[in-house]
Amino acid sequence: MNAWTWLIQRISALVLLIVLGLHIWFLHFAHSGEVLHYSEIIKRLGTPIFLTLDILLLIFGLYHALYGVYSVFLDFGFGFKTRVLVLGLMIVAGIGFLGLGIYGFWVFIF
Amino acid sequence: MPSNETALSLAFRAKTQVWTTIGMWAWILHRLTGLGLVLYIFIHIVLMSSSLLRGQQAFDAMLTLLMRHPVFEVFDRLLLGAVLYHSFNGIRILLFDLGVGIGVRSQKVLFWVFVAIAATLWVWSIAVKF
Amino acid sequence: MAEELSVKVFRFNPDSDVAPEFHDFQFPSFKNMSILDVVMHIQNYLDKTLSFRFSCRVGMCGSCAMYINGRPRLACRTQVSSLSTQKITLMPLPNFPIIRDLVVDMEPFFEKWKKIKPYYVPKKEMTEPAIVPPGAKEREFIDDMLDCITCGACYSACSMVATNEEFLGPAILNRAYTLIADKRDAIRVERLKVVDRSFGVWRCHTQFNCAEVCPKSIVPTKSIQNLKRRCVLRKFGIRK
Repeated sequence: MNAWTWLIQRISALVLLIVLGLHIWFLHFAHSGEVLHYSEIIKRLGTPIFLTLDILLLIFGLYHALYGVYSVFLDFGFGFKTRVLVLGLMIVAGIGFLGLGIYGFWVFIF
Repeated sequence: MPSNETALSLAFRAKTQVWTTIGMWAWILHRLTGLGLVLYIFIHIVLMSSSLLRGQQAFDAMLTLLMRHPVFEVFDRLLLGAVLYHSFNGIRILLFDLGVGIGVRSQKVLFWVFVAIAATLWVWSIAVKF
Repeated sequence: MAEELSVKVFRFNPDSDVAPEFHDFQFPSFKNMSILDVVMHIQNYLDKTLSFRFSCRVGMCGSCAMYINGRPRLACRTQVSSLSTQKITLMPLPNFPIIRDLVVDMEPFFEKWKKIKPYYVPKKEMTEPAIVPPGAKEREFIDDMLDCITCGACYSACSMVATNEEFLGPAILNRAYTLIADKRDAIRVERLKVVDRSFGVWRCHTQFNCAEVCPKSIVPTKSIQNLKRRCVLRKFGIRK
């Protein structure tokens, strides 16, 4: 299990470098700090590319973040039962925030 | 009888770490920025989703607050700094995973190179009024 | 020219003391004085109750490792002059239980050592003596990693060992690699499975403190990174 989750962590890092970079670029640099309006967001999220990018960001961002947090937790050497509990928490948090994020995009997906 | 309590005491452990290496600080900063960014991502998802769902007016009001209020302007710059550090030190770590630069000296060189790039990008971003 | 040294030494006897203390000693240094000379001087002339370990005096046995001015080092191989200060602070190696003063209990370290079966197990199908020729690249690659004298300095320097008592640690993982990388060995996969655990290789975050303090200039990080690669490749069926 460890080798797989670690590998996906590294892959998510690469994906994030690209996707997060684009995200920050488009939202902040591409139109020199003008306040973003709902209408622009609607237009963007209406296109499959931007919607895909944002969903990728959501999935890989959450994975990378929660793997990182779990990694820090593991560094403190807690016992098996505690580890299982916290792992469960991470998975629940991941699914929860992913669900919330997708729900926010609901209108644009359907 | 060996004493584990003393060896395990926080004071003893804190005092006997190796604080004088680049690797130690690179790791600490990576961890701190990481944890900070995790907190941010949770808040960001909740905020953005709820704002989108509440409709045009609520969304625009939230965005105006986030992109214009002076506190958030400072916060955004710190956030960018954290993202840049974590990203570039992350690239350094990916290089280690590919077998590149794994030496006492080379890992330090890599650190400074990437920090320099990240710092340059950060300063430039602030200069162009990020 | 003799300089006046100011030495602070960690003192603690778990059987009689409630808490550790630092004792101060002042005395002149002599040319080429090492930290081992420092503690010998204290024990011979100033306080005969000071406890510390040493044996070979020449950096081969690994007995005299202690925490000297901010890092784990071998006392016999640390010249006072190299510290660039007259203020010296001596503490026992961190991440080990303390027996007394500067002497630590190496048991937990060697218990972990045993977990990776730190000895060559010959493959039955190879005709003995199975030889990897001296000039071979694969031998060259692990040659430096074989120099480990189990002094414990790397284990002490690692922050991951400090926070996680179960983590195998740099020295053990380095030794595991030298055997796993040996194509003559019969139980490589078994060893790989031992290190491919949450408290094995995956707790290393490439901090490099281990490599910085190793008196034999070994870079355990390199061994560990190679182990991680093997763990991943094994999942894809490569490098069984």
